[in-house]
Amino acid sequence: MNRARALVAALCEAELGTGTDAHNFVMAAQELLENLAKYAAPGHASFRFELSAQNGRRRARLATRNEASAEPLAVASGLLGRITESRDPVALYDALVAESGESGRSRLGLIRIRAEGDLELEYAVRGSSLEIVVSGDVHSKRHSA
Amino acid sequence: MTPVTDLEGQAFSTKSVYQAGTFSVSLIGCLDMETTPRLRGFLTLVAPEVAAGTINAVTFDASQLYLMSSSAISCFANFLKELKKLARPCWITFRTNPTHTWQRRAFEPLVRLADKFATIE
Repeated sequence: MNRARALVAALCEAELGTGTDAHNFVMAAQELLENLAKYAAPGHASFRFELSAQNGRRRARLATRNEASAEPLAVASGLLGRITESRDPVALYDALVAESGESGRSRLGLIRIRAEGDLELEYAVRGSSLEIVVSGDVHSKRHSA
Repeated sequence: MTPVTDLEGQAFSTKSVYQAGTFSVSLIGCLDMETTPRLRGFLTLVAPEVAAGTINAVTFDASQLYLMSSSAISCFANFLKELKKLARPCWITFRTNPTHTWQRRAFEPLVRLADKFATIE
């Protein structure tokens, strides 16, 4: 996990500098990796990071895919539904911070990606497989804050 | 105050000082799902000292903190919720590193949770 995060951090620093864009994607990478470590069922899991430039628009994208057993998959799906549909991610983040730990889980990583990182979050459940995609516009190193 | 042993380790450590009711803790390294359980244990020792009135202010100095995942945010949130239950106030300060601008955004939800007694510097 630390090596994967360090690789994302190195790529972000090289391409985006050390500003907000870079931190947001390092933070999102850490949260997605922790989710994989906590909730993925044994077997295949994947983690991808992409930086792209098309028609002058620079984007970054993180994607994870993992198998999960029924109970954690249902919990994740319910939470992801609330997060992706929320019109006020900061208010939802505050509500989840207030509830955090009551179930023995933080439940803060995914909402943090939207509320703190202001990144786009999508997910799909196919059978027992969960895919999460985080993406956003980024700025090149020389324009980094 | 009952001495609280600082955490040691390559990934995360603390360096704390108690003086005249103020407990100052430097957070050093990375707080993630692997290191946060040790912080949770550390804060479990601090909370009773606050309840007993030995500590009336806690400063978390994040100037040497390089990463904080949601595991740590949840840990701090639970600490703050414990303090909220107490009758007497205890002031909490999260001191950030101005060059790590992410820290302020990471601590903000904790200050919103405990806005009557927690601040960010």
